[in-house]
Amino acid sequence: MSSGPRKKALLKVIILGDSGVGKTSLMNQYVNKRFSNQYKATIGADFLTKDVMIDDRLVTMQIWDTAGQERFQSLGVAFYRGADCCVLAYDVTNSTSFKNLDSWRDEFLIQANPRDPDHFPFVLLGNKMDLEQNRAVSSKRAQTWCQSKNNIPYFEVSAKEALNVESAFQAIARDALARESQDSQDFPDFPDQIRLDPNQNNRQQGGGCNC
Amino acid sequence: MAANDDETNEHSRKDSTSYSMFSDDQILVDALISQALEDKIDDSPNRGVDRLEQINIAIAACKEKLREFSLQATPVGTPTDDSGHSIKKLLVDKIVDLGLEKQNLQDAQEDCVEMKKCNGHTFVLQSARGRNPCCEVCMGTIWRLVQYWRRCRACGMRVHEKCAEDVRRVCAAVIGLQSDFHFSNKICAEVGLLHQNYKCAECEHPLSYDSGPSDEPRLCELTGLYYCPSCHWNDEWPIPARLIHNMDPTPYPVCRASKQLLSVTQHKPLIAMLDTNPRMFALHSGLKKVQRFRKDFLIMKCYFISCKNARSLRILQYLRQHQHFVEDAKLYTLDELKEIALGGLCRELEDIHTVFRRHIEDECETCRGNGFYCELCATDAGRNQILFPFTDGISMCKKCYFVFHKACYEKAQSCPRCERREKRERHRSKD
Ligand SMILES: Nc1nc2c(ncn2[C@@H]2O[C@H](COP(=O)(O)OP(=O)(O)O)[C@@H](O)[C@H]2O)c(=O)[nH]1
Ligand SMILES: [Mg+2]
Ligand SMILES: [Zn+2]
Ligand SMILES: [Zn+2]
Ligand SMILES: [Zn+2]
Ligand SMILES: [Zn+2]
Ligand SMILES: [Zn+2]
Ligand SMILES: [Zn+2]
Repeated sequence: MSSGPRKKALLKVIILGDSGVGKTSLMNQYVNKRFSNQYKATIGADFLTKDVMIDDRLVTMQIWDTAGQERFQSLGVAFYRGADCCVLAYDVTNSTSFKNLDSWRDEFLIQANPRDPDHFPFVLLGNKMDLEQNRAVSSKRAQTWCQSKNNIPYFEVSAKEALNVESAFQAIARDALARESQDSQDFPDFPDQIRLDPNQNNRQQGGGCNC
Repeated sequence: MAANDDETNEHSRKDSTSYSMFSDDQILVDALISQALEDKIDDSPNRGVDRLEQINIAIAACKEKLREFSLQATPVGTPTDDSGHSIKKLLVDKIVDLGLEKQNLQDAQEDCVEMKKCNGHTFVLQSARGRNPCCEVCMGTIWRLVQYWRRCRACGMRVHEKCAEDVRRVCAAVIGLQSDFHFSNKICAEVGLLHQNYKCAECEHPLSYDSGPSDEPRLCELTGLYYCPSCHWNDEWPIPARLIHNMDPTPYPVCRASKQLLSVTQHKPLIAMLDTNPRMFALHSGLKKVQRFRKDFLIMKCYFISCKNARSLRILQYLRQHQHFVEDAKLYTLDELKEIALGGLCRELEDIHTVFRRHIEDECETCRGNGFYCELCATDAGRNQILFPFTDGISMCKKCYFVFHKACYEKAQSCPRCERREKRERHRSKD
């Protein structure tokens, strides 16, 4: 606000987790302050953006909502690249969604290919905490997992009741911002889209139809 | 119209500087129209003016005003230039709106006109304008000015009002649009007049080469049978079987029933070319290219249905009459095969392919996000190249559909992602 003109940061955040854990709901609750009980499967990956103040900085969060790309033929996960933070989400009433967290994390690290995988910022969200009576994964168990992964921050949230969603995303933005300012020094590791364009144009010329 | 006015006002409210100018012009256009309407109604006080007439009057008034504006050539840069321009635009918009309303009104009225249904045809009463056609029931001329006549909305057959009920031929649309309809892929050999007992294959009129023009036998290349001159007008059309087997687009003589059938089905995706004549894809370079584009279109569709930008651009509409290309990769329409055989279609599809590619690869962040990076690459440059399933020189894992450079995949000989999955599965089953 009073800190003078500074570069407006764009933070790229990816939400991963099994289908049905509430990724789309969490994003909608955070960005649009809305929740719908109707289940509408997401197809492919898409992002929403939201401007937020972190301390004295205005940052734009670009949040990528995802859906099982691997089940939907021909869609890849190129969007993992250049992420500033990866949000892993599971459903506290569904233990399979918790067990699959390792795969989500591993796949993310392989595809995103960050410079320092051990210190890449992850955040874990245990969603649907409003359904306490159906809980299948204890907070303790989740916390232990987080500790084993280099102390990933953990939040229990409810997209439905808007519990902790705002503060979790604030923490996510903060982690991503820390990451982003680090990156400005060692940026070359992240492919930027502009640099890729000349390649694409070349290939386009080669692939023409001669009839 | 009211909705449109609201929109214009909404627009001007946002842009406060042009507010007064905009709304003045709007009032001017509305005043112009109501003046024209009042004039006309005063002229004929005895009868009410219906909506269609109102629209016609309003359109005429707008056009007249527009002509006045065009005649007053205003030098560029004068202060009036700008406002004249905006009134002109409003007038043009108004004419377009009124035209649309008129069209809707006329469509609705046409539906109300009594339709006659006979043998599957939907005969709609026609106007007296144009040249005089021939009735397909009695073969007599239809004298439009003095005889009522009808045309089938589905197959185009024209008949006298009095002949409609005597029509014997079933409507081609009824046959052609049945869900199990398909073209025969056999080129019909003519069976000969003797086999037909020297009678027209449709109406059984006697046929002979000697007894005058009304008995002349005419061969239909679609059915392989002979017809009388009433049932066969020497129409010509490409024959499906000849396209399927030889990519032969030549029009051949066909009987009226065949012509009507081919005409109603020409844009239906009915020909499973890949099943019927797979060898043609290797032999005919145009067909081969079209098929490759179609394979890509199917993949691109996955990107477009998961992209809200593509949805709001309605990007799949670029395919126009080829929409079925994104339903499956197999079926062709008769018209498409004809176009390909004549050397067309490929160019058109290439343009669409370019538009689609540009959206996914360059213009759309969402679609690009759904691309792939080759994880088998040894070099940084390779690892940072974004790939799509329709990029040249890639390989796709048959099992998990992940995409790699072809060279990288052939070297690795297996998919690392599938391997990781199998490992995890083994791990899980041990637990
Ligand atoms: N009770 C409860 N239901 C939720 C919550 N978040 C999401 N849901 C429901 O879980 C289902 C799946 O949510 P969705 O956001 O589509 O999951 P996604 O597949 O991960 O995007 C929907 O029916 C949601 O209404 C929550 O916090 N509490
Ligand atoms: Mg979803
Ligand atoms: Zn008909
Ligand atoms: Zn007649
Ligand atoms: Zn006949
Ligand atoms: Zn897109
Ligand atoms: Zn590679
Ligand atoms: Zn695989």
